[in-house]
Amino acid sequence: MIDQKFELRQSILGLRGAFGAVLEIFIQNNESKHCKIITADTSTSAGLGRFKTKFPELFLECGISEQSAAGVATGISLENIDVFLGSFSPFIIGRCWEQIRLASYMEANLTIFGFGAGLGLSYLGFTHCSLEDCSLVNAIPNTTIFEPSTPSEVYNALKKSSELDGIKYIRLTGDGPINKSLMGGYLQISENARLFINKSNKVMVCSGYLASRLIDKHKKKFDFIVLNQISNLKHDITLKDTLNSYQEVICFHESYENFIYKIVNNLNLKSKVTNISPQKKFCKPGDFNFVSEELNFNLTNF
Amino acid sequence: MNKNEQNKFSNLVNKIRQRILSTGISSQYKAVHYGGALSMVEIIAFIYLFFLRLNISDSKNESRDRFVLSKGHACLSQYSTLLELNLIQENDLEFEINGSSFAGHPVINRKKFIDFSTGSLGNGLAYAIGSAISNPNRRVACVIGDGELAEGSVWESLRITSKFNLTNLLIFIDLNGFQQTGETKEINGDMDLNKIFEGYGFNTIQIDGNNLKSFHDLKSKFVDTKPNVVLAKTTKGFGFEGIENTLDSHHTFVKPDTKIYFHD
Repeated sequence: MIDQKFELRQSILGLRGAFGAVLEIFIQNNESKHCKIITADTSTSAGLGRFKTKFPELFLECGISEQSAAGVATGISLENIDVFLGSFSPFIIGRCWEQIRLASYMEANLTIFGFGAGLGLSYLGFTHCSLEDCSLVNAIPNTTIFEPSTPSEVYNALKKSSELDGIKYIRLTGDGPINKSLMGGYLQISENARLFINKSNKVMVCSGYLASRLIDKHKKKFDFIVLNQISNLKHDITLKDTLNSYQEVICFHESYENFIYKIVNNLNLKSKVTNISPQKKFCKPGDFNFVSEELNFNLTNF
Repeated sequence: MNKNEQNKFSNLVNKIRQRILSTGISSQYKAVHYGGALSMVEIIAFIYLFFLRLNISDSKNESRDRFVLSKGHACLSQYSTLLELNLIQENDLEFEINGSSFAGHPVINRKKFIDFSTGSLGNGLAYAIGSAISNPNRRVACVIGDGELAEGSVWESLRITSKFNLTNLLIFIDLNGFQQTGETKEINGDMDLNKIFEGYGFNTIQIDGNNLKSFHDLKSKFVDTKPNVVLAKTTKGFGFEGIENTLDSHHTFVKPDTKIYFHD
């Protein structure tokens, strides 16, 4: 596990910036005894610069060759070595979809971390953000998607990934400091769900960096449930009971296909359920607020 | 290769061609990828006899050597080799039968020495790199087709092979000159592969890939200071009368009494 002091320090860097430091602790804690980290010339973008210097023997830099990097990762993982493969989400998922599909077909155990997912990097253009990645991964059998919201949740996603077979995708969204109120004062209602109580009769359900944005905007007005794993879930009866205690459940996801809504909808709640996700289209680039407005992804008035 | 090894080599090559015919005609789908399987018979026989160190007791050995048939459509050459070397048994080779690993393209089954699922061209070399990196004491061989060289991922992987100086990985390029819809030089363009591979940092060896004599001293040309690639000029459909050196041989029917050219 990681301590609160460390987490608070890392939270300034955002999820992708903190990833390398969290992975470093994960390896130091012997959570993975035999592993390789593979990137495609993007290690510094995921805060892996220090990791690379500290564990050069674990690090394989494949260069700007995502598809081959995914194939190399598959080859290594099929020799019973844990592999963590990562780059910008649209490249490592979008460009490598077939390689990921074939890795799954061969029953490889592979953990993929994709940063720049969602709209966090939308100011760089649609080349560098992805709203399709969850659907792409989920279309492949034997896959699990995590969308952590804090460094601790990144750690938990890594730990859960190492326990699960198949392809695990750790989706890192956002590109700014993580809201500190996400790091304490919650109720862990199930293995996958954290509840933040503000005594509202409406609850927002979300994941990833969106949790920081929503808590910033609606701190005292709503309760929040933040999920970490967003696909391949077992039926969560505690989550169902908790959500049924609210009048309205509002599901947010930075993805064309709202995976949070899918999870909640599958629970057959009595409560009213609302789906808030970006409209399926492209628009001119801009910051999160600009692009969200263009895509009718309204976090305030719904 | 000494005389005894040369005889063993030519016997295996002949048996593989015979087995390709008997297995191919057993397919319920009748049309089979004969051309690319036949062009690489000498190559695969060399790899299994003189490069890889495999025997049946190794089937569950996780650190054993690996073979990657990147041009997966040529799988009949691999299945026939495994059978003729007794690495699999006759009843294992259920070619294109429901539920079998011995499909029209290889499906991973490590206990039966099918080390990776291939068939989607351009992916095999990356798997081979993964295997080679994960255990430097392991030997890995990979066969790539000349048509397949158009895949960008092959060139990504060649660069990675060179970067990590994987001397335990042996690559053969089967230059049979044809692909599905025409001559490779027409579709891909004609290029000086020798210069390109040299430029990538490989020890590049050119051979006549269907001539047994080309293989007799091949091992002596390998180096242990950089990765080795063998550019093997072959003939598509080699050894089968009627389909040799034809575009049609890529995926075709043959008669059970097809005349096979055997090496002396």
